[in-house]
Parts: sequence; C-alpha cells; structure tokens
Amino acid sequence: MKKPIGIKRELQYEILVFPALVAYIIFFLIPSVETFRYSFTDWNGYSKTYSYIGLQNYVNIFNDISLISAIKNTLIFAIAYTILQNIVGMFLAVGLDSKLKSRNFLRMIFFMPSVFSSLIIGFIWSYILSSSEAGLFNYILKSVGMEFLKSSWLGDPKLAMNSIILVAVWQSAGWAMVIYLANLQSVPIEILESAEIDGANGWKKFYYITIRMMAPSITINSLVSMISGLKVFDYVVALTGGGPGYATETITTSIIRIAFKSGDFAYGSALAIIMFIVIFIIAIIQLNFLHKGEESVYNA
Amino acid sequence: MKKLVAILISICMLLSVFVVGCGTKKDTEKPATTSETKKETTEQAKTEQAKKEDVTVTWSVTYKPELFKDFIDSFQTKNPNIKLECSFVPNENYAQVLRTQYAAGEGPDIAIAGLEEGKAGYLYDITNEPFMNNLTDTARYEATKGGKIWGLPVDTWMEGIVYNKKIFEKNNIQIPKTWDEFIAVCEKIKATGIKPLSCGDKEGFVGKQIIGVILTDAYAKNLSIEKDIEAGKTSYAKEWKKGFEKWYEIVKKGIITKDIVGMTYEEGINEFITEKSAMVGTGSWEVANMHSKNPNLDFGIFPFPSVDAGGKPWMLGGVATSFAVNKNSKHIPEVLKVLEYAATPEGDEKIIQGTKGGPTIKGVKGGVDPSLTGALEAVSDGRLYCPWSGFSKLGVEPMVLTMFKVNQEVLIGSKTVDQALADLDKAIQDALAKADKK
Repeated sequence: MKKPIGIKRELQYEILVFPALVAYIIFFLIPSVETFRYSFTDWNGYSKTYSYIGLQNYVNIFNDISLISAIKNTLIFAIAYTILQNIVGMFLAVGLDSKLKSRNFLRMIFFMPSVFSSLIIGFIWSYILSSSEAGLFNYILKSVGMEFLKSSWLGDPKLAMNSIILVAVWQSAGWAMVIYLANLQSVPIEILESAEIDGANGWKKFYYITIRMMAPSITINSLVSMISGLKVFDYVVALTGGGPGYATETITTSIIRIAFKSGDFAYGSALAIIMFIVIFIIAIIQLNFLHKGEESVYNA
Repeated sequence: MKKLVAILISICMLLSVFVVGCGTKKDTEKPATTSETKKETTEQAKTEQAKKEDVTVTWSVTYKPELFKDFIDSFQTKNPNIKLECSFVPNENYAQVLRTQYAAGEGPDIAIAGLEEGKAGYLYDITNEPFMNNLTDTARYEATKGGKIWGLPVDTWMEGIVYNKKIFEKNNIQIPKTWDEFIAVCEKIKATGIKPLSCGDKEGFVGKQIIGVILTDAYAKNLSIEKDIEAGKTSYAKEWKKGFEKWYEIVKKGIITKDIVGMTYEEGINEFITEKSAMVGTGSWEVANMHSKNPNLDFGIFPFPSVDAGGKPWMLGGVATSFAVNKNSKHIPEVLKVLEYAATPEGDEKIIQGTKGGPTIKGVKGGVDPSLTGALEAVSDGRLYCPWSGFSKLGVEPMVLTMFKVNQEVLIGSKTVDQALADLDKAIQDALAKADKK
C-alpha cells in the first residue's frame, strides 16, 4: 500500500524538474559537448564538411601572441571587478544597515542598475562617455569649467579598460550590497554588545567581528564576480567593441571574433574549452581558499 | 522501482514531444510538396499554374524592407501567383545569421551572399542564367569569382567625402582635388569655428577612408594588387605605405585626433546631419537616412582626393548587394523569376531607388540620388574600386577586419604605419595558408 503513494509523490518532483531538464540538455549540455568535439576539427562554422585535425587548434592557441593581451585584459578586469564590486558593495551594505530614515529608498536606488541588462547599461554609458560633441560626461566637465579633465574615455587605450570596469562596478555593486545586507542581519547582536563592553570602537567592531562573520557572503560574492568577470563580454561589446585596436579585447570577445566573424569556428571552440578549464581551476582554488577562511572564523 | 517508473515516464514524455513535433511539421510541409509536384507539371502548361497555388518566396536584406515596396508591388502585379516576402537582418550580424541558417539546411530563398557561401555549397549556380547578360561589364567582372557568379549584383555602393554645401558656399570653398588641398580646406573650415570632418572610429570604419585615399595612388597604377598578393608577388607593406602615410598627415595636422576612436560611426554621422560639422566620410547607403533625419540638409559628395599632385580623385565602392539563390529552396523557378525581374532596367531602377546605390544593369537611366551626382564623373571614368572584393581565394573578412583594428592602433599611436601594414600582411598570409589547405 505504501509504494504507490511513494511513486506518486516522487513523480510530482520529477515532472516539475522535467521541462527545465529538457531545456538544460538541449540548450546547454548538447552544445557544450558539441563545442568540445568541434575543437578537434577544422570546421569554419558553416561549411558542410570538415575533418578532424587532433590537437592542432590547441597547439596554435599557445603560439598565438595576439591572444596574450586578451588574457591579460580578462585577468585585469576580473580581479579589479571582483575587488571593487565587493568593497563598494560592502560599504553600501554597512552604510545602509544603519538606522537611516531613507534607507529603504536608498537601497532601491543602489540596487536598481542591476535590474537592467548589462548590454543596455553598456550602450547607455557608451553615449555618456562618448568623445563626440554629444558625449554627456565630457559636456558636464566642460560646463562646470573642468575642461582639462575632458578625455576620450573609451577611445584612449589607457582609459578604456578602466571605464569598462567603472561601468561594470557601477551596475553590479548594488547586487553585492543586497547579499551583504542579508548576511549583516544574521550577525549576532550579543557578540557586538560584548565587544562594546570590552571597549571596542566602531571600526574595531567592524574589522574584528562584522567582516569575519560575513565570510560566507564574501565567499559567494567574490566567487560569482570572479567567474562573471572572467567571462565578461556584454560590457566590452557595448562600450568599446574590443577597441581601440585590441586594447580591451577579452577572451570571450576574441572567441566571438575568431569563431563567428573570421569564420574559424573550431579554433574559437578550442579557445572556449581552454577558458572553461581555466575558470574551473580558478574557481576551485578560490573556493578552497575562502572556505578555509570561513572555517577559521567559526572554529576560532 | 521508483526510479524505473520515473525514467519510463520521462522517456514517454520525451517521445511524445518528438511525435508532436513531427506531426506538426508534416502538416506544414504539405502545401510545399504539393506545389513542388505541380511545378513539374507547369512546365508543360504554364498558364494553368497562374490560377493555382500561390508560392511565397522569402528574401532577407540588410535594408529596411519598406525601401523595396515599389519593387515588390510591381513584381507581384506582374507575377500574381508569387508572393515576395522581405525581411530585415542588421548588417553586423547578417553573414553570421545567414550562415547559421544555411548550416541548418534552412535560410531564405533569396539572400545577400557570395563566394564563401557558394564555395560551401549552399548556393544555386546562376552563372549561366540568361538574365546575367543584362549586367554591366564592371559589375559582371566584380561578381565573377573563379569563373562563377554566385549572386546577382543589383546595386553598387560608393564612398567618398560627403560635405555640407551651405558651409562650402558660405566660405567660398572649392572641391579639393588632392589630399594637401583637402587638409587646407579642413584648416580653413576649422578657423571659422566649425568642426571640419566628423569621424567615428569605434568600429574601425575610418579604415575604409584610408583605403579610399590609398586607391588614388596604388590602385591607380595597378588594380589587381589583391591577386598579386595571393600570387605572392607583392605585399601591402609595399603597395599601401605611401597612401597610408599621406593620409596620416591629417592626424599630424591635428584635424583628426585619436579621440575619434571613442565615438561611433553613427555619432559622427549625427554630428554631420545636425550641421555641427562640415564633412563626413560616408557614402550612398547613408543618403536615405540623411534625407529623412534632416530634410533641409543640402549635401553633396566628392571622391577621395589624390595622394599625388597630378593624380585623380577616386571613389571607394563596388557591388553592394548581390542576390544569391538558396540551393535548398523549394521554388527555384519562382525565385529565378524574381532575379530575372531585378535584372531588368525597370527592376534595377526600383531597387536602387530604395538602396540609393548606383546601377549594375545596362540601360538603367534614373534612380541615382541628386546628392550623389558629385561622384558620377569619377564613376563613369572607371575610378571606382573596392580592394577587398578583389581577392579570388579569400572573403572580405581577413582584410577588412584587420584593417578596422590596425587603423585604430595607428590613430592612438600604439603602432606605426609600417607595423600596421605588417600586421595586415600577416593576417592575409594566415588566411591564405588556411584557404590553401582546404
């Protein structure tokens, strides 16, 4: 008598999961496996025939000098983005955890940019930072008498990457803030109070207690931003298109350029596989490192 | 046990999805197959067919479909049983979208395609269709790749320097013939407080203008540089150096600054349309947009001024749109009828009224926009060429994409002209090595 009920109950879950599973298999798993297979061929992305060339694409990648700047740019972006997003997010969270009257309103304001698609944010900022006569940011600088600061924010190779990082942090700091805010609610008030009795000031309380109790959210935030930083594509495409020259080209924009524009799909696939492996390794290392940090907090 | 049942049920569901999928597909395929069998019979009795099945021919373009309304309407009144359906795909993604569709065995019946797709086996060979004889000699020469024509050229594009006639008249400026004169004109306009030349180079399109200047030097002497490069006889470092360095003088004089890399081509065009600048490097494809955004703007075009004092100005340009036929199309005879109409003077005139390009068919009289008349002297004199379509083994990508990148690097000062041209030569050699392997 028990069994049929069991099956019935199990089935409810299976059915609920099923559509998502089908979509996952069709749109993610199969293409991923196919990408892996194509990386051993010389397919150009549209021809009817192709042949297997073994590891040749992988060998070529390690001999391709033009990819080195793409890898460098990606690492610069990912590291700067991770650090800045989390610092800004943390400060916003601590600030908006205090008993301000307008705190709900301010939380909404700071979170709002993360609601929009990063591509849209990128296009809007590309108009703001443009060096044309209509570029808003330069126009503001000019009208407040700071014309000497006027720059080609997206056209100067020294500034372009910084502008992209700025826009990305501007958009996603609110997201980090929300996660930190949630974690802040769970910091036990007793510990903070006893620290106060022991004579700790505000900064010491923050540094020795709050920040350590937030270890779980720091782990998740920095991991997520590191991974999305390594995969950055939308901001670059919308803001600079990889230019000037190759100055802001990242690994993903190189993959798209090689695979779809230059018609070398197999080479692009091999690059994608390598990127997958690298991100995987970095994520594992980072996770281990941060987990150790978490454990030390709770064991201490 | 639980697992087994779950797996069984999921398999059933999966199967049902496929079965449903197949069922609907068969339904939609029916009219197509019936019309196909009919086609065979119609070859004996053509008059009967007109009353029967309507055939829809699909067609994708990089222009707004409304521009071809005239063409579609007059074609449909002539061929009441064929419905022509035009859809729009943006230029930046066009090749990518089309190739994906072709690889999946789909795609529109008529598309803008050429050598690459033809070599991959997706296009119907139209080389020997009778209507191909209507093409002008230059259009035919440019469209023929390795003895075959994969797409019917229907219009030409032209790029030069578009200028504001009012500003030129007010300051009593003559059309410059040489690059030195051009720089002098820019300086004169700059002195009046107006921006002389708008350029947006975020996409790298200024690379085309550099090629336009190079035309007046290298290509005036030898039109087949690309074929010579493929044969290993010469290099861009040798052929382009003089023209590229001459162009660079405009940067040295401070008329173009490296700031232009921070703005888009579109923003440059908008500066010109709103009369904030006197000139902009662009061409025929932008004319319709300029007329509609600022109807009061009085503008003309002149060819790229020449490098040498004794040289002649050139237009950059060539075949713009080529209509190719999908090999997998279910209605090849009807599709060919569309091309046949496009290859008549009447049909081509209607197309170029939409695209604002130049004609490719013999006997076309009207259609060219008045703002483009400044180009006609150079064009009729044969001073119109597009180097990247001169390759017989390569598509346009290796040269164009590299040129779009390296001109930015020269502008921002991270590379010299020599280094940029060496990069370009390397990209071409790499692409040639790959093309030879296949």
